[in-house]
Amino acid sequence: MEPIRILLVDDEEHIRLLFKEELEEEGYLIDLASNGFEAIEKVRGERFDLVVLDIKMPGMDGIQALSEIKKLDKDQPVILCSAYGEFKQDFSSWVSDAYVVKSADTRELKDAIRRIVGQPRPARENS
Amino acid sequence: MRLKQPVSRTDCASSPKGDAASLSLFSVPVITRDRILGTITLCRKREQKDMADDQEDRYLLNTIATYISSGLENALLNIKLRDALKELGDAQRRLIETEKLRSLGEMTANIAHEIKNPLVVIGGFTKRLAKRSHLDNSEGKYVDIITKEVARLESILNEVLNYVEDSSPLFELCNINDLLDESLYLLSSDKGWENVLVNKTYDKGLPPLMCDVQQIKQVFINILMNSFEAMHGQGTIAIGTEAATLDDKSFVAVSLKDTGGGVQSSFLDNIFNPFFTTKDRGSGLGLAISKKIVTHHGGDIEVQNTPGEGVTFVVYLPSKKSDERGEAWNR
Repeated sequence: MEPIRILLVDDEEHIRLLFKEELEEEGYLIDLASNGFEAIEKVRGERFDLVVLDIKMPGMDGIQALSEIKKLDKDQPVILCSAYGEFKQDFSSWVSDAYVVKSADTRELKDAIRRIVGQPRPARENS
Repeated sequence: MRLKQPVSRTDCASSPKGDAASLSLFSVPVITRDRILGTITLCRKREQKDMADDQEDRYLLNTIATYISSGLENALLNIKLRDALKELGDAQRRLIETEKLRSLGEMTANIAHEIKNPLVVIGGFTKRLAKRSHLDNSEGKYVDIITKEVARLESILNEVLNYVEDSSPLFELCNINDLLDESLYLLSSDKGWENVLVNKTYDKGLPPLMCDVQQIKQVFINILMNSFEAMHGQGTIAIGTEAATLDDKSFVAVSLKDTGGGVQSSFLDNIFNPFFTTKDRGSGLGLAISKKIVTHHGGDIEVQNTPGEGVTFVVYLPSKKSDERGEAWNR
């Protein structure tokens, strides 16, 4: 069975590390990008089952990156993951498949991911 | 004198003693801005020089009256100027206060953003650490405390952001009594509310309201929670609704009265200020958010405080005129 590939985009290194470890533990295959430009480059070159996008990033923010990604492939699933819910009212955020507010409790993010791409093969045990 | 001109008279009256010694007098008005404040009158006995002939003294008296007039006028202007300056000072203070709050809001939003990511990292990795290590009882407890405190900080930050970032209301037509009942229902399932007695006096003939149902519910929940905490979970909350007219506009007034002993009068001025709290664990935003929501709706919140008894919050929300839809609304 093909692994489920997720591109995680966040400008904060430690957030990337946290979410990567949490999601890898769930059995997803994680690739990382640290800003909008990098994310678009990666989406152009490879196939991802899902892109998880932070919103506030230097250079190109998540909302712009979302619209570029949807231009490349309107069926590419994208989750917006922001520090707060303030962009929920931004029309441009509505084309995303889910909007999750970042939290130390990663259950909401995991639930949203599972809803969109399903549960991967049984979770890998980390030694 | 009504013509605001000096008056000169001779042989005009007998003296108070009744002797025939008549007088000559000269009277000049003291005028400020077309208003006669009084007169200065100089009287002379007959044997003295008649005022009518004494050009010099009349000139002197005219000059004195002019000086007094302008002196008085200056004094009056000074009073007005002082009042205007005071008003200006008050307005300026209010403006500075508003500006201060605005920049405080912006600064807070920025800080809240900067803090959120590290907080997620701290809380997230604490959980991972706990998952991967074999912790004894007390270590487990410490991890639990860190996790809970991080969750608390996260919720405070969310409240802060809700306060400082405007979210425009989604208006719909609603019935205020139903809305209050729904807010009460949401709270009734919380722990401790079974010891609170709620007395409702609803006016069932009230006109409908245009409001953001979720936001207004939030207002009532905030006020009710505030009362609940003031009463330490035990007491009576009296809720009443009625129609009210303020400045010729129709409002619905909702009063929520608790038996929480009231607040110190010195706290009243600050009660709606963000981050003002008398509680140990409050964010100080509940009432500030409520005030902001109600103001956005074109209404207002009033506080009536009876120290030793309780506090009454009165929420005014603009309503349609009662003759518009009131009858139809009340089924």
